[in-house]
Amino acid sequence: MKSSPHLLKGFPLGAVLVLSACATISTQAQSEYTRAQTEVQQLQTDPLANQAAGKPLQQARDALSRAADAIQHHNTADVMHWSYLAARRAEIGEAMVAELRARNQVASATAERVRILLDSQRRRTEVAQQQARQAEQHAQDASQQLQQERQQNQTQQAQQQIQQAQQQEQQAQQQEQQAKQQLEELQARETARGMVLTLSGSLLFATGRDTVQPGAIQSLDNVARFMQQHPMMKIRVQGFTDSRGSDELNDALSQRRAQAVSNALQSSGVDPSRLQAIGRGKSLPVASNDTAAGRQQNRRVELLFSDTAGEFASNQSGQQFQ
Amino acid sequence: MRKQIHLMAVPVAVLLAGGCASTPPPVGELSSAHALVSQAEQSDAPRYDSADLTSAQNKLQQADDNAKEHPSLSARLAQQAAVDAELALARTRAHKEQDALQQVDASLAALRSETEQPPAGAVAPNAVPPGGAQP
Repeated sequence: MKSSPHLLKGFPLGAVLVLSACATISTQAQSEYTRAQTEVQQLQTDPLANQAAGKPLQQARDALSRAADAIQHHNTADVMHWSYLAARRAEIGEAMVAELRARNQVASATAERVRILLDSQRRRTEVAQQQARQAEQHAQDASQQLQQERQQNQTQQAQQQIQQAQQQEQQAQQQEQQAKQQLEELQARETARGMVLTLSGSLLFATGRDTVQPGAIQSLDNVARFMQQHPMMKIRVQGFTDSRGSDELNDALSQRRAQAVSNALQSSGVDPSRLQAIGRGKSLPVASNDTAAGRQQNRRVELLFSDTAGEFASNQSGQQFQ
Repeated sequence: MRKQIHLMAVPVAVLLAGGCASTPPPVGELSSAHALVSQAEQSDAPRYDSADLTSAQNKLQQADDNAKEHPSLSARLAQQAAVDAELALARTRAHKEQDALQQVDASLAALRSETEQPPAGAVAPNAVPPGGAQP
């Protein structure tokens, strides 16, 4: 009797009864019952069984228990019938478990799909942002480079212009210097008004006449040659007299003599636009009119030279008091 | 094989149930079996589980045939036909869900191969520096 609870524990109740009452039911019914037991056990060990197939599992257990009762009552037909129903109910439960398992997998696969899509979208966005940042950086770099190049160009141009201006100024100064030296060779002297070449009246003209004498033509030719070397330069030809005689006569005479010198220069090749003849009469004496020698000095024609650019040191063309 | 065994069970049952003939036809069992079998016929069971559906139809036919003369046998045939039809329905639903899973798995695999290659293929031509595309 000690081994009997052991047996009951180790084997399903139905199996024990079958063993004890085997003589009265068919072996086919026995195997049907065993098959049903196996199906039911298989179902109830599935972790999803209660959730997915609670009802068919219960129905299968009920049918199995009825089959066990039938074994006890030696009713082969009932054993067959309830075993069949129990097995089929268990199979229905297994199909329902399989359905739920597949549905859960569909759900997780769908979630995975969404996760992958979002992930790839996020990655694409990141790549695009990265590219945009790089493009912006490139554009900034390019713009900076362009600006630097422009600045360098501007600086170079400005430096070139400064150099050119300095060169031009140097050339102008050299020309000016050269002109001054040449004028000094022609016996001109430097005054506040500019370079002045004084031609003595007695050399230029016979007394009371306004025709330039042949002896003076040589020195006027030298002036004309000088003027050809400095094409921008201009001359103011100013005639002066001593104080003898009326102002009207002196003014007119000095004007005529200035004009005569101007004409002579013109004849030697100086363009009339570069010449201006002005009669200044007895004004601005360079010596005393009380002596004959002084008066002779006062009778003169002065050539006032502009700078090499054509500008006179003082712009007062009719200056009386210099 | 299984169907053969069940069909063989029928004559045995007939022999055992033959004794009592005065009970009325199993109206309730028959009508619920008819309802389930026709439900299974209208579902996708003919395509997914024709074996169980055929078994249900055969047993229902036999249950109808025996309704008057062998009501007890008819009732059991009707119960078995009903449970066969339920099984056909359950297996059909499970099959359809598994088909759906296959489709989702296939599209997931396609998506994986699409999205896991592009990062390597799309990043290189645009010369993103190494590590730049990493999240």
